[in-house]
Amino acid sequence: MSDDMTRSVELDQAALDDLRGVVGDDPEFLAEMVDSFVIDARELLSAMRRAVEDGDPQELRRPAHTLKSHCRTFGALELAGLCEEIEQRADDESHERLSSLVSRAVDAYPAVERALKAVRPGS
Amino acid sequence: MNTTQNDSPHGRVMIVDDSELNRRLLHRYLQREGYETVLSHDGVQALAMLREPSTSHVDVVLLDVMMPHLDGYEVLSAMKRDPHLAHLPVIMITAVDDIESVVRCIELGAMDYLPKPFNAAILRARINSSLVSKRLRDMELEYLEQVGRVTEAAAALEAGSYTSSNLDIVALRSDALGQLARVFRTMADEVQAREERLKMQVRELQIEIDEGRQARKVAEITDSDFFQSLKGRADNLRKILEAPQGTGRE
Repeated sequence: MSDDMTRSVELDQAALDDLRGVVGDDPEFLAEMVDSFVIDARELLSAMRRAVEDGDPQELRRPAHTLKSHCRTFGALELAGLCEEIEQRADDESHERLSSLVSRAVDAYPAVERALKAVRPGS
Repeated sequence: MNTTQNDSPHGRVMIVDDSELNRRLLHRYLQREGYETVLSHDGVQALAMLREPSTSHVDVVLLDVMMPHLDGYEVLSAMKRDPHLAHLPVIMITAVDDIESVVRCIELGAMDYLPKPFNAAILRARINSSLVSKRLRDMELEYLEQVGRVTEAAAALEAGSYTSSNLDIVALRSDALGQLARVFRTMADEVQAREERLKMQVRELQIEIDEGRQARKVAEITDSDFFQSLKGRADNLRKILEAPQGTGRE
Protein backbone atom coordinates (compact mmCIF):
# COMPACT_ATOMS: atom_id res chain seq x y z
CA MET A 1 0.00 0.00 0.00
CA SER A 2 1.49 3.37 -1.02
CA ASP A 3 2.00 6.23 1.43
CA ASP A 4 -0.76 8.42 -0.04
CA MET A 5 -3.27 5.59 0.51
CA THR A 6 -2.49 5.35 4.22
CA ARG A 7 -1.70 8.96 5.06
CA SER A 8 -4.32 10.89 6.89
CA VAL A 9 -4.77 14.64 7.21
CA GLU A 10 -6.62 16.72 9.71
CA LEU A 11 -8.92 19.30 8.25
CA ASP A 12 -8.80 22.68 9.94
CA GLN A 13 -11.78 22.87 12.31
CA ALA A 14 -11.99 26.67 12.22
CA ALA A 15 -12.29 26.58 8.42
CA LEU A 16 -14.95 23.86 8.60
CA ASP A 17 -16.85 25.88 11.21
CA ASP A 18 -16.71 28.93 8.92
CA LEU A 19 -17.98 26.76 6.07
CA ARG A 20 -20.88 25.49 8.19
CA GLY A 21 -21.63 29.09 9.13
CA VAL A 22 -21.91 29.92 5.45
CA VAL A 23 -23.95 26.88 4.48
CA GLY A 24 -26.23 26.89 7.49
CA ASP A 25 -28.12 23.91 8.79
CA ASP A 26 -28.39 22.11 5.48
CA PRO A 27 -26.46 18.81 5.42
CA GLU A 28 -27.62 18.07 1.88
CA PHE A 29 -26.12 21.28 0.54
CA LEU A 30 -22.90 20.71 2.49
CA ALA A 31 -22.66 17.23 0.95
CA GLU A 32 -23.15 18.78 -2.51
CA MET A 33 -20.35 21.22 -1.82
CA VAL A 34 -17.99 18.43 -0.76
CA ASP A 35 -18.86 16.53 -3.95
CA SER A 36 -18.21 19.69 -6.00
CA PHE A 37 -14.86 20.11 -4.27
CA VAL A 38 -13.87 16.55 -5.16
CA ILE A 39 -14.83 16.98 -8.83
CA ASP A 40 -13.10 20.37 -9.05
CA ALA A 41 -9.96 19.24 -7.22
CA ARG A 42 -9.41 16.26 -9.50
CA GLU A 43 -9.84 18.45 -12.60
CA LEU A 44 -7.58 21.16 -11.21
CA LEU A 45 -4.81 18.69 -10.36
CA SER A 46 -5.05 17.25 -13.86
CA ALA A 47 -4.81 20.77 -15.31
CA MET A 48 -1.74 21.42 -13.15
CA ARG A 49 -0.08 18.24 -14.35
CA ARG A 50 -0.79 19.14 -17.99
CA ALA A 51 0.56 22.66 -17.50
CA VAL A 52 3.82 21.31 -16.03
CA GLU A 53 4.17 18.83 -18.86
CA ASP A 54 3.57 21.65 -21.38
CA GLY A 55 5.93 24.00 -19.52
CA ASP A 56 3.19 26.65 -19.37
CA PRO A 57 3.40 28.72 -16.14
CA GLN A 58 0.29 30.78 -16.95
CA GLU A 59 -1.79 27.63 -17.23
CA LEU A 60 -0.25 26.30 -14.03
CA ARG A 61 -0.89 29.36 -11.89
CA ARG A 62 -4.64 29.55 -12.37
CA PRO A 63 -5.62 25.98 -11.32
CA ALA A 64 -3.11 26.15 -8.46
CA HIS A 65 -4.75 29.39 -7.29
CA THR A 66 -8.26 27.94 -7.50
CA LEU A 67 -7.33 24.72 -5.73
CA LYS A 68 -5.57 26.75 -3.00
CA SER A 69 -8.78 28.70 -2.49
CA HIS A 70 -10.96 25.58 -2.38
CA CYS A 71 -8.59 23.80 0.01
CA ARG A 72 -8.64 26.75 2.39
CA THR A 73 -12.44 26.78 2.28
CA PHE A 74 -12.58 23.10 3.26
CA GLY A 75 -9.76 23.29 5.77
CA ALA A 76 -7.18 21.32 3.77
CA LEU A 77 -4.42 23.70 4.74
CA GLU A 78 -1.43 21.52 3.91
CA LEU A 79 -2.54 21.03 0.30
CA ALA A 80 -3.51 24.71 0.17
CA GLY A 81 0.07 25.57 1.17
CA LEU A 82 1.51 23.42 -1.60
CA CYS A 83 -0.82 25.03 -4.15
CA GLU A 84 0.18 28.48 -2.92
CA GLU A 85 3.84 27.61 -3.40
CA ILE A 86 3.14 26.39 -6.94
CA GLU A 87 1.14 29.53 -7.71
CA GLN A 88 3.86 31.84 -6.44
CA ARG A 89 6.75 30.00 -8.11
CA ALA A 90 5.06 29.18 -11.41
CA ASP A 91 6.93 31.93 -13.26
CA ASP A 92 10.45 31.58 -12.01
CA GLU A 93 10.96 28.09 -10.65
CA SER A 94 12.67 25.36 -12.66
CA HIS A 95 10.57 22.82 -14.49
CA GLU A 96 11.93 20.04 -12.26
CA ARG A 97 11.06 21.88 -9.09
CA LEU A 98 7.56 22.73 -10.31
CA SER A 99 7.06 19.15 -11.45
CA SER A 100 8.10 17.95 -8.00
CA LEU A 101 5.73 20.37 -6.26
CA VAL A 102 2.79 19.33 -8.46
CA SER A 103 3.60 15.66 -7.79
CA ARG A 104 3.55 16.38 -4.07
CA ALA A 105 0.15 18.04 -4.44
CA VAL A 106 -1.18 15.12 -6.45
CA ASP A 107 0.13 12.71 -3.80
CA ALA A 108 -1.34 14.78 -0.97
CA TYR A 109 -4.79 14.94 -2.47
CA PRO A 110 -6.20 11.41 -1.76
CA ALA A 111 -5.84 11.94 1.99
CA VAL A 112 -7.72 15.23 1.70
CA GLU A 113 -10.51 13.54 -0.22
CA ARG A 114 -10.77 10.80 2.40
CA ALA A 115 -10.85 13.35 5.21
CA LEU A 116 -13.56 15.33 3.45
CA LYS A 117 -15.66 12.26 2.78
CA ALA A 118 -15.41 11.46 6.45
CA VAL A 119 -17.02 14.79 7.37
CA ARG A 120 -19.44 14.74 4.43
CA PRO A 121 -23.01 14.43 5.73
CA GLY A 122 -24.60 11.19 4.59
CA SER A 123 -21.30 9.39 3.99
CA MET B 1 -24.98 52.52 -13.32
CA ASN B 2 -28.64 52.69 -12.98
CA THR B 3 -29.51 53.84 -9.47
CA THR B 4 -33.04 52.54 -9.40
CA GLN B 5 -33.84 50.82 -6.13
CA ASN B 6 -34.66 47.15 -6.38
CA ASP B 7 -37.44 45.32 -4.57
CA SER B 8 -35.20 43.45 -2.14
CA PRO B 9 -35.22 45.05 1.31
CA HIS B 10 -31.64 43.86 1.88
CA GLY B 11 -30.27 44.84 -1.51
CA ARG B 12 -29.09 43.04 -4.61
CA VAL B 13 -25.56 41.68 -4.67
CA MET B 14 -23.68 40.63 -7.80
CA ILE B 15 -21.26 37.73 -7.34
CA VAL B 16 -18.47 37.61 -9.94
CA ASP B 17 -16.35 34.47 -9.64
CA ASP B 18 -15.13 31.95 -12.19
CA SER B 19 -15.45 29.10 -9.69
CA GLU B 20 -18.93 27.62 -9.57
CA LEU B 21 -18.24 26.27 -6.09
CA ASN B 22 -17.45 29.76 -4.81
CA ARG B 23 -20.45 31.27 -6.58
CA ARG B 24 -22.75 28.67 -5.05
CA LEU B 25 -21.36 29.17 -1.55
CA LEU B 26 -21.68 32.95 -1.73
CA HIS B 27 -25.12 32.73 -3.31
CA ARG B 28 -26.25 30.29 -0.64
CA TYR B 29 -25.07 32.47 2.20
CA LEU B 30 -26.42 35.72 0.79
CA GLN B 31 -29.82 34.20 0.07
CA ARG B 32 -29.99 32.88 3.63
CA GLU B 33 -29.31 36.43 4.82
CA GLY B 34 -32.11 37.82 2.66
CA TYR B 35 -30.11 39.40 -0.13
CA GLU B 36 -31.02 39.04 -3.75
CA THR B 37 -28.15 37.78 -5.91
CA VAL B 38 -27.01 38.11 -9.49
CA LEU B 39 -24.36 35.61 -10.59
CA SER B 40 -21.64 36.06 -13.15
CA HIS B 41 -18.89 33.63 -14.07
CA ASP B 42 -16.38 36.11 -15.49
CA GLY B 43 -15.50 39.78 -15.80
CA VAL B 44 -16.68 40.23 -19.38
CA GLN B 45 -20.11 38.85 -18.56
CA ALA B 46 -20.27 40.89 -15.35
CA LEU B 47 -19.63 44.19 -17.15
CA ALA B 48 -22.15 43.32 -19.85
CA MET B 49 -24.77 42.52 -17.19
CA LEU B 50 -24.05 45.70 -15.23
CA ARG B 51 -24.44 47.76 -18.40
CA GLU B 52 -27.66 46.02 -19.45
CA PRO B 53 -30.60 48.10 -18.13
CA SER B 54 -32.85 45.10 -17.51
CA THR B 55 -30.30 43.39 -15.20
CA SER B 56 -28.34 46.32 -13.92
CA HIS B 57 -30.12 46.99 -10.63
CA VAL B 58 -27.22 45.94 -8.44
CA ASP B 59 -26.30 47.52 -5.10
CA VAL B 60 -22.97 45.85 -4.36
CA VAL B 61 -20.50 43.80 -6.41
CA LEU B 62 -18.46 40.96 -4.89
CA LEU B 63 -15.54 40.60 -7.26
CA ASP B 64 -12.94 37.85 -7.52
CA VAL B 65 -9.47 38.91 -8.66
CA MET B 66 -8.09 35.97 -10.59
CA MET B 67 -10.43 35.16 -13.45
CA PRO B 68 -9.93 34.25 -17.11
CA HIS B 69 -10.50 36.75 -19.96
CA LEU B 70 -10.79 39.84 -17.76
CA ASP B 71 -9.42 39.74 -14.23
CA GLY B 72 -10.85 41.53 -11.20
CA TYR B 73 -8.46 44.49 -11.51
CA GLU B 74 -9.55 45.08 -15.11
CA VAL B 75 -13.23 44.78 -14.23
CA LEU B 76 -12.78 47.22 -11.35
CA SER B 77 -10.92 49.71 -13.57
CA ALA B 78 -13.58 49.47 -16.27
CA MET B 79 -16.31 50.08 -13.70
CA LYS B 80 -14.56 53.14 -12.28
CA ARG B 81 -14.10 54.57 -15.80
CA ASP B 82 -17.79 54.14 -16.57
CA PRO B 83 -19.79 57.05 -15.11
CA HIS B 84 -22.85 54.80 -14.81
CA LEU B 85 -20.98 52.19 -12.74
CA ALA B 86 -18.32 54.25 -10.96
CA HIS B 87 -20.40 54.78 -7.83
CA LEU B 88 -21.23 51.08 -7.31
CA PRO B 89 -19.46 49.68 -4.22
CA VAL B 90 -17.12 46.81 -5.05
CA ILE B 91 -15.84 44.36 -2.46
CA MET B 92 -12.91 42.29 -3.68
CA ILE B 93 -13.21 38.75 -2.36
CA THR B 94 -10.21 36.73 -3.30
CA ALA B 95 -7.59 34.16 -2.42
CA VAL B 96 -4.87 36.50 -3.76
CA ASP B 97 -3.44 37.45 -0.42
CA ASP B 98 -0.38 39.58 -1.01
CA ILE B 99 -0.40 43.16 0.29
CA GLU B 100 0.32 44.57 -3.17
CA SER B 101 -2.95 43.13 -4.44
CA VAL B 102 -4.88 44.67 -1.55
CA VAL B 103 -3.25 48.06 -2.15
CA ARG B 104 -3.88 47.86 -5.89
CA CYS B 105 -7.56 47.07 -5.38
CA ILE B 106 -8.07 49.92 -2.93
CA GLU B 107 -6.20 52.32 -5.23
CA LEU B 108 -8.39 51.25 -8.14
CA GLY B 109 -11.45 52.16 -6.10
CA ALA B 110 -12.56 48.98 -4.32
CA MET B 111 -14.55 49.74 -1.21
CA ASP B 112 -13.27 46.72 0.67
CA TYR B 113 -11.16 43.59 0.41
CA LEU B 114 -11.99 40.19 1.88
CA PRO B 115 -9.79 37.10 1.83
CA LYS B 116 -11.15 33.72 0.81
CA PRO B 117 -12.38 31.69 2.54
CA PHE B 118 -14.68 34.38 3.78
CA ASN B 119 -16.03 34.65 7.28
CA ALA B 120 -19.82 34.93 7.15
CA ALA B 121 -20.18 37.62 9.82
CA ILE B 122 -17.44 39.81 8.32
CA LEU B 123 -18.88 39.47 4.84
CA ARG B 124 -22.34 40.45 6.07
CA ALA B 125 -20.96 43.48 7.93
CA ARG B 126 -19.03 44.68 4.88
CA ILE B 127 -21.94 44.19 2.51
CA ASN B 128 -24.23 46.11 4.85
CA SER B 129 -21.69 48.91 5.17
CA SER B 130 -21.43 49.06 1.37
CA LEU B 131 -25.21 49.10 1.04
CA VAL B 132 -25.44 52.08 3.39
CA SER B 133 -22.83 53.85 1.29
CA LYS B 134 -24.68 52.97 -1.94
CA ARG B 135 -27.99 54.20 -0.57
CA LEU B 136 -26.47 57.48 0.58
CA ARG B 137 -24.96 57.91 -2.87
CA ASP B 138 -28.32 57.12 -4.51
CA MET B 139 -29.98 59.74 -2.29
CA GLU B 140 -27.30 62.25 -3.20
CA LEU B 141 -27.79 61.56 -6.92
CA GLU B 142 -31.56 61.88 -6.55
CA TYR B 143 -31.12 65.15 -4.65
CA LEU B 144 -28.85 66.58 -7.33
CA GLU B 145 -31.27 65.49 -10.06
CA GLN B 146 -34.14 67.21 -8.25
CA VAL B 147 -32.11 70.39 -7.64
CA GLY B 148 -31.61 70.30 -11.41
CA ARG B 149 -35.37 70.15 -11.90
CA VAL B 150 -35.85 73.30 -9.83
CA THR B 151 -33.17 75.24 -11.73
CA GLU B 152 -34.61 73.99 -15.04
CA ALA B 153 -38.04 75.17 -13.91
CA ALA B 154 -36.61 78.64 -13.16
CA ALA B 155 -35.03 78.79 -16.63
CA ALA B 156 -38.29 77.55 -18.21
CA LEU B 157 -40.26 80.22 -16.32
CA GLU B 158 -37.96 82.89 -17.70
CA ALA B 159 -38.28 81.45 -21.22
CA GLY B 160 -42.06 81.20 -20.96
CA SER B 161 -42.14 77.41 -21.25
CA TYR B 162 -42.68 76.57 -17.57
CA THR B 163 -44.95 73.66 -16.62
CA SER B 164 -45.67 73.27 -12.93
CA SER B 165 -46.08 69.47 -13.11
CA ASN B 166 -42.30 69.17 -13.65
CA LEU B 167 -41.86 70.03 -9.98
CA ASP B 168 -44.52 67.69 -8.58
CA ILE B 169 -42.07 64.96 -7.56
CA VAL B 170 -39.69 67.46 -5.92
CA ALA B 171 -42.56 69.15 -4.09
CA LEU B 172 -43.37 65.82 -2.41
CA ARG B 173 -40.10 65.91 -0.49
CA SER B 174 -40.36 66.76 3.18
CA ASP B 175 -37.00 68.56 3.33
CA ALA B 176 -35.88 72.09 2.45
CA LEU B 177 -35.66 71.27 -1.26
CA GLY B 178 -39.28 70.12 -1.20
CA GLN B 179 -40.28 73.37 0.51
CA LEU B 180 -38.33 75.37 -2.05
CA ALA B 181 -40.10 73.50 -4.87
CA ARG B 182 -43.53 74.09 -3.31
CA VAL B 183 -42.87 77.82 -2.77
CA PHE B 184 -41.39 78.16 -6.24
CA ARG B 185 -44.34 76.32 -7.81
CA THR B 186 -46.87 78.53 -6.01
CA MET B 187 -45.04 81.71 -6.97
CA ALA B 188 -44.53 80.54 -10.55
CA ASP B 189 -48.23 79.64 -10.81
CA GLU B 190 -49.11 83.15 -9.52
CA VAL B 191 -46.72 84.76 -12.00
CA GLN B 192 -48.24 82.69 -14.80
CA ALA B 193 -51.80 83.61 -13.71
CA ARG B 194 -50.87 87.31 -13.52
CA GLU B 195 -49.27 87.12 -16.91
CA GLU B 196 -52.41 85.49 -18.29
CA ARG B 197 -54.58 88.25 -16.80
CA LEU B 198 -52.31 90.91 -18.30
CA LYS B 199 -52.51 89.24 -21.67
CA MET B 200 -56.31 89.23 -21.43
CA GLN B 201 -56.29 92.94 -20.57
CA VAL B 202 -53.98 93.66 -23.47
CA ARG B 203 -56.35 91.76 -25.80
CA GLU B 204 -59.33 93.76 -24.48
CA LEU B 205 -57.43 97.03 -24.87
CA GLN B 206 -56.45 96.02 -28.36
CA ILE B 207 -60.12 95.47 -29.22
CA GLU B 208 -61.00 98.90 -27.82
CA ILE B 209 -58.17 100.51 -29.73
CA ASP B 210 -59.28 98.81 -32.93
CA GLU B 211 -62.87 99.93 -32.42
CA GLY B 212 -61.76 103.55 -31.74
CA ARG B 213 -59.56 103.46 -34.80
CA GLN B 214 -62.48 102.28 -36.93
CA ALA B 215 -64.76 104.98 -35.48
CA ARG B 216 -62.17 107.64 -36.30
CA LYS B 217 -61.92 106.38 -39.85
CA VAL B 218 -65.70 106.49 -40.24
CA ALA B 219 -65.78 110.03 -38.82
CA GLU B 220 -63.02 111.13 -41.17
CA ILE B 221 -65.07 109.90 -44.11
CA THR B 222 -68.46 111.21 -42.96
CA ASP B 223 -67.08 114.65 -42.07
CA SER B 224 -65.47 115.19 -45.50
CA ASP B 225 -66.96 117.72 -48.05
CA PHE B 226 -67.20 115.00 -50.63
CA PHE B 227 -69.24 112.80 -48.30
CA GLN B 228 -71.45 115.77 -47.32
CA SER B 229 -72.01 116.57 -51.03
CA LEU B 230 -72.90 112.93 -51.76
CA LYS B 231 -75.18 112.89 -48.75
CA GLY B 232 -76.94 116.09 -50.00
CA ARG B 233 -77.46 114.55 -53.39
CA ALA B 234 -78.76 111.35 -51.87
CA ASP B 235 -81.21 113.32 -49.72
CA ASN B 236 -82.49 115.16 -52.79
CA LEU B 237 -82.93 111.94 -54.68
CA ARG B 238 -84.82 110.42 -51.78
CA LYS B 239 -87.16 113.43 -51.66
CA ILE B 240 -87.86 113.19 -55.39
CA LEU B 241 -88.58 109.52 -55.12
CA GLU B 242 -90.79 109.96 -52.10
CA ALA B 243 -92.78 112.95 -53.63
CA PRO B 244 -96.34 112.16 -54.96
CA GLN B 245 -96.62 111.59 -58.70
CA GLY B 246 -97.17 114.81 -60.76
CA THR B 247 -95.57 117.14 -58.30
CA GLY B 248 -92.10 116.41 -59.41
CA ARG B 249 -90.23 117.90 -62.29
CA GLU B 250 -91.27 116.43 -65.70
